[in-house]
Amino acid sequence: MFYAMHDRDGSLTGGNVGQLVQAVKVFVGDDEQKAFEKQLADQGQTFVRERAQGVLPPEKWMVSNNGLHKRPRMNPTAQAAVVKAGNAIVVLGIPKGARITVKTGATIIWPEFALDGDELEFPSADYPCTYTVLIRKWPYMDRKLDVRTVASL
Amino acid sequence: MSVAGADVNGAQFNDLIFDANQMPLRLYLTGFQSVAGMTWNQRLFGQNVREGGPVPLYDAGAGRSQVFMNAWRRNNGLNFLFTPSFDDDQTPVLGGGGVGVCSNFVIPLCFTVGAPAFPDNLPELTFVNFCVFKNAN
Repeated sequence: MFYAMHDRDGSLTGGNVGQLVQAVKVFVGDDEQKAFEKQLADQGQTFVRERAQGVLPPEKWMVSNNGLHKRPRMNPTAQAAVVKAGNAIVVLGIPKGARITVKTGATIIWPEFALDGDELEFPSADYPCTYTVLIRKWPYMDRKLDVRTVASL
Repeated sequence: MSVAGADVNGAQFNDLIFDANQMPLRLYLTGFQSVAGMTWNQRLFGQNVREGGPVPLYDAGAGRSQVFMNAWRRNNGLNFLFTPSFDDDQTPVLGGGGVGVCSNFVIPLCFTVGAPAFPDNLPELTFVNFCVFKNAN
């Protein structure tokens, strides 16, 4: 049986209501399972359980309406996956209030910031490289977009 | 650890856990624990690690010994998980995380640092995977 404990009011995660904060898959028989649930209750833990085959990852799952559900997907798109070096890079369809990080390779171009609108535009350097845009917004699954710049199209 | 009376000093791993005279270890549970991290300013002013609030885990019961193993779990945004490390240049996050287990509580060890743009905010949660074995049926 899989047991998930979640943030019920956003106080543990800075507002992410339903975020999984601890979960365990317990490999025991029925008797010991009841003892385990009693122990959780005695400790004041509220939990949601599911007969899952493995541990459901917090990156993909959340708790809502007292059940485990898949986190929704966001659908931002790069206006073009490949652009000419030096031209602007545009990402559309970003959920409002999302947190954005832009990097190229291991170098962070823009540390995480909050985006007011639903569109991101930034200039690219005049040499070819690949920019990675990481977009985070609860309860959506994190999303990453790559945009490559080339010397000539 | 699971062998009573063993001298830990200088002992080999197998002498302490997989001793043929002991009950075989069985997987009791596997799971993950969130680790909240600390703010950019906490690190800026000299803090290297923050102790998170203890989280109840479980009581193995009399006559059993628990063996805990844990590993930092970091998602790169594409649900690729990274192996344990202290720092990760593949994400905009400094640090890492861990947990300690004592008296049936999980205690998060918060290394991960928030973004300089939000110096008093905690970073995104990181997670630590762990599993627990028991040495009795």
